[in-house]
Amino acid sequence: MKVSLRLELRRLFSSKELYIALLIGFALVVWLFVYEVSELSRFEEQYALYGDKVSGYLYYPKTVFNSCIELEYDALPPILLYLLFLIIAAFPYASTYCKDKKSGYLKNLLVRIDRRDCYLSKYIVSFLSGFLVSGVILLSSLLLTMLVFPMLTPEVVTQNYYVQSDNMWGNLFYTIPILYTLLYILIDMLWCGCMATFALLVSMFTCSAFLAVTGSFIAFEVLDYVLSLFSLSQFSPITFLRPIQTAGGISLGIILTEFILFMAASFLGFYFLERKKDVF
Amino acid sequence: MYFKYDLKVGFLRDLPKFLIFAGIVLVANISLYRNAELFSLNLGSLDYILYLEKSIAPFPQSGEEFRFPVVWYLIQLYLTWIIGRYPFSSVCESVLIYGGSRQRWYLSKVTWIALTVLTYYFVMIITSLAFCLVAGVPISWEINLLEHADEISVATLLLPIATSFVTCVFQLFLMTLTTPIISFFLVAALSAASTYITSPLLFTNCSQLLKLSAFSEYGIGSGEGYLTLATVLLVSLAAGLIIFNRRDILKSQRDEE
Amino acid sequence: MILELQNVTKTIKGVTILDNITLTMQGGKVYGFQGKNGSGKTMLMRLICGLIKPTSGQVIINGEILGKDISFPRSVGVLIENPSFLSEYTAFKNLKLLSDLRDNLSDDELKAILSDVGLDPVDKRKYRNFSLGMKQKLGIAAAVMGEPELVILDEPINAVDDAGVENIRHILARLKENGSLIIVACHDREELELISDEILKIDAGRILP
Repeated sequence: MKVSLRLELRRLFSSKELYIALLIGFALVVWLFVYEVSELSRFEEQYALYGDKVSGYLYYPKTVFNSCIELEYDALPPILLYLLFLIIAAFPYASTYCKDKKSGYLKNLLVRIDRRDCYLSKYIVSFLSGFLVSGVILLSSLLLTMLVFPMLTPEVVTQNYYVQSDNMWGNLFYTIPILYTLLYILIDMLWCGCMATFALLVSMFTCSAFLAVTGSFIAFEVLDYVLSLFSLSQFSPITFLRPIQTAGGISLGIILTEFILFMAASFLGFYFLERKKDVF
Repeated sequence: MYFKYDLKVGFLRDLPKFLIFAGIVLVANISLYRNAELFSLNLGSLDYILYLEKSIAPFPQSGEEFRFPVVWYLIQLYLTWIIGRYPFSSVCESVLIYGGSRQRWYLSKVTWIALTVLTYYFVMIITSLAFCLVAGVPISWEINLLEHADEISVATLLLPIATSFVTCVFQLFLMTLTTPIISFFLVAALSAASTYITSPLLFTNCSQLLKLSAFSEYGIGSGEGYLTLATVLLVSLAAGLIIFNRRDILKSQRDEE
Repeated sequence: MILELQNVTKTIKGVTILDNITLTMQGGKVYGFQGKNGSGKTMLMRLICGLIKPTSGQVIINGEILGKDISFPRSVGVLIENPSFLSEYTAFKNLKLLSDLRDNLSDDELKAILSDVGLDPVDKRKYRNFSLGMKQKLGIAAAVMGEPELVILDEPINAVDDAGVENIRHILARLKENGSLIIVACHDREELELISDEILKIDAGRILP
């Protein structure tokens, strides 16, 4: 197990796809950072001239907790990041199984490594790739924002924050916001790992890297749309991934239950069913 | 000759994919029907078709809160997915060589894109009309769902189709530069960005009816839209042809199914 | 058919793959390329097919410059590295699709080609269920169908059984008689000497004298 895991991890860290995914994430993080800083200086100038009339709300300085990519609700980069997170998470590794099948490398692996170890390490590394990529992107945004913006505790009355006090962990957000942010980043990391394993599941049915990476993304988008029609958006991973909680009714129970279900589905499919298939 | 191959392998073999799309359209139609009943809206068949292309009004100029247009995005995304799958899965040496010309190969893919886009919208319209017939929605050319200028020209209504075609040609050009996955990602990001920013430079704005001047005072004019699309089309075609013509086919780039 | 390579050099990412190759080949002959792995045989074949472009020099086929006057040789059949076909189609259907691109051969002609290489023309099995040898045979069938003027075969006898090798010899002999220019790369020296009229040794991207 150790050998195959080390092998797959080495493949992950030497793949250019990993660095492309990180580069895309960093580009969005920097884009938002530049936007936030420029908006901040523009706002400060306006405020010096016109006072409270500028925002229409009670003045409260911009903080880390409405400027980092996780908690900003009014800019394009977070919309793009959270919409396309699934592709970014699956891109570095999920397609390697397709490539291995196509190139015949899988056969090389299977005659040298125990079949269980081979499939299990692929599954684990796939999860880790999504987990790490999302974590690095989200934490880098948080850290970058912390360089410039203050970590003031959010105030409900300022109406500058999208998280509502009756949302999941709403009280935590308005008391210990850094804990809320870090916990939500952990949820996102777990889910991105889960989505990467789901892309691995899709690769059971195809030898096309394109279908493996984009197929699961399309499936989650369709699921998100169908759930929104029935006012059940709180059950859609694409919706509850955003720490600003754009839908009401999101709960830790939903997030964890779905996480376990999706992980179990991808694990059962890939580890138990795919492992038993003949390899030609 | 390439086109015959594309027709058989890239189009006819892929017809079941359009059935999935018809399913998505049907779900969107049902959702609109429910809302129409709930809010006592008097809608006709054209409304059901335009609903799928309306997206959201220019943000933030319209003053409305930003709500991501899931229906419009899903429809664009699915087309991007269909287009991303095929062209570079057929760069196998034999097909390319037997056809005799790189330019013809590329132009055949553009023709295939045109056929796919037209079929895509045909499926969308036919499914919506069929739903209207079954659900008892009147078949009419009146627009009640969207506020609009007095007269809506056919050119305006055709702009989303033209935009989808140009977007797909642009995606093909991106595929010559990068990989199908990255080009899919870039087009998906471009489409998402255009829901947020209204500018003719983000040409996918032109496939969102509510971002056109006929439906919104802050929207893009049809003429401006067509001009942008023509520019993007010409640049994508020319650059794609030049790059593909110079590209080395070092190993089989077939992305098998 | 006359194929000329004039001072052809190919450099990829700073590495010279083919180094100033000048060569003339004529129809009605079989040319065997011999060389170590990585010596540049496959790259030279890809270049003659028009799949890659020379960094300098030119490839002239019957007076037409490849990449300038024509994208690919006008009449060519190719098998380079692993053959690739549509996995859910049968051998016949795969050949039919390719034939429609250029030769428009009749069903009977296609069936005859499949029989020639030792495949069953009415076999309903899909390509994905083929053995390695069967895939190779189908690749050869695709390369020789329509009796092209230029035939390029890279390792054609890989994974092919004895009867299949015999079939390939017959097909190449027939093509040669009809005036085709045949280029074959093969690691089996005896086989290469048996089928070739002229053997060209390639090393580090150069043709050895």
